[in-house]
Amino acid sequence: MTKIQIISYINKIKQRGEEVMKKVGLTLLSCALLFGAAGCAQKEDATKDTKKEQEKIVVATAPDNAPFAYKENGKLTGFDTELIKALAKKEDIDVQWKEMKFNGMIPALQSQQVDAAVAAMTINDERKKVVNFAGPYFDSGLVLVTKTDSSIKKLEDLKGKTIVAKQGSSGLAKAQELANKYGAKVKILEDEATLYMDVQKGGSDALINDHPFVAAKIKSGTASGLHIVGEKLTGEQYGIAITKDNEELLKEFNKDLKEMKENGEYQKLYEKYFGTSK
Amino acid sequence: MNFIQSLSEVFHDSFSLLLKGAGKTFELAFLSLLVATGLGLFFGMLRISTNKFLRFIAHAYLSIIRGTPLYVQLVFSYFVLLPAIFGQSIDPFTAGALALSLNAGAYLVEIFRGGIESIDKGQMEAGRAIGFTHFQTMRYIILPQAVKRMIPSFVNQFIITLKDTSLLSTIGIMELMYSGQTIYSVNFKTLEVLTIVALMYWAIVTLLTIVANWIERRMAQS
Repeated sequence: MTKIQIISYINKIKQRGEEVMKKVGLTLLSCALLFGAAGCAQKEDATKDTKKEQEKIVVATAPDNAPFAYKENGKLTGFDTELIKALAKKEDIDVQWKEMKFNGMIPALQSQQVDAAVAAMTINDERKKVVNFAGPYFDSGLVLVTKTDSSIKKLEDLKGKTIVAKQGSSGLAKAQELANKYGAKVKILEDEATLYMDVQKGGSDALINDHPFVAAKIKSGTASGLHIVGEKLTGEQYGIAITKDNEELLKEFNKDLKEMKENGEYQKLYEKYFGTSK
Repeated sequence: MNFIQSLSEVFHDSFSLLLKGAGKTFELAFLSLLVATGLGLFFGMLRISTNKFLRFIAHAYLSIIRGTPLYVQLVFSYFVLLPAIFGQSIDPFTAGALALSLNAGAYLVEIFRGGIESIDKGQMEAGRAIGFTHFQTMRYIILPQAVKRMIPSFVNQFIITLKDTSLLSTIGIMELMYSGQTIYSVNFKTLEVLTIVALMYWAIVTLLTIVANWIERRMAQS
């Protein structure tokens, strides 16, 4: 080819290249806009209904919390799960479950990505500042768990040991309190399962968790080599967390909870999961 | 109070804790990269070796590490593999640094290989011609030139490893992100805390990039 032919050929390729880039750019831009619009639409779904009669609520759950929330054959079930379903049914509201980690729930409520959260969440003052609680619906307490052959027999033995607890839980606050009092160290993990694994494998010396979880784990046989040390450390009550500005849902749930306790529905549900010993 | 006021209040209360977390993050990234460099060099040599078995070992290492997510490697090694090998849990910092080193090392192998192979074959021939062994040629002629070319990719990997340290929260290490999470799990000021955390990561990475550019300029002069 002559020089001129070569140059014009190269120019043509450049032009084509520019056209393709323009098309790609436009496609990417419209994709971005579409996703943005879709994202906005999703958020509006959760918050729009707070103004009028709610037909659907988004509820956060952490399905690794047997027997309160867990999956059986892929289906979500448990004490908390069934409680919410019962309450929602009374109000003729649909429930859409959103799974997340426990310590992500309060931020999700604050940003109104969910309308409520239920995960054996203890009612306390710090949380009441940012969310409302319907309930209490369960009496619980924290316990200390160690290996059966551990040298820790009473709280004083915690000196120099490592206590592990779940991020954002009331158990963590208690662990830090005990660590300060008895000279122990605190380790923070995020899931139920890893708490027990860590103590079993020796990464930590003790864990603090809610009594019902520990009891269920021991009953299921997956907590081999672990046992509860001492009495309940605290008395706590669980509540259903609801976004701060949703007064209506709070009122409705409280009313329905009272009804369930009075007409025996609550007792039936309790016995289904925890037997007759209260 | 508005966002800026809330932000500065959170900053005053939590900065020292976050700084400790940042220190841990940097410590982990730096240590891991040091070990990873050694691993990268070692497996890099294996990778281009003439011995089929050595090449296979290198390929196996690369395939396993690059083929699985760091998160999976971390949880698996800390909760399953290492306790099985050592009989009980090992210290999270060591386990985390090990996982990060192995991970970064695999990617560094390819960076080293790319750098070395970009050097003219004539250099190796010349080196052998003047009597150097393969190893001596590598050490005195090829590698010094190759390292200069590898710096941008190397810095890239350092940045990636630095940001990967945030995954170590899974095994309980109090690095920057986890420290932030612990703070907002108690005071519920998620947005403020995360803004500060993001800015801190950005500051660390930017500082690193400036240092790297300085090093590159110094090396170009030689």
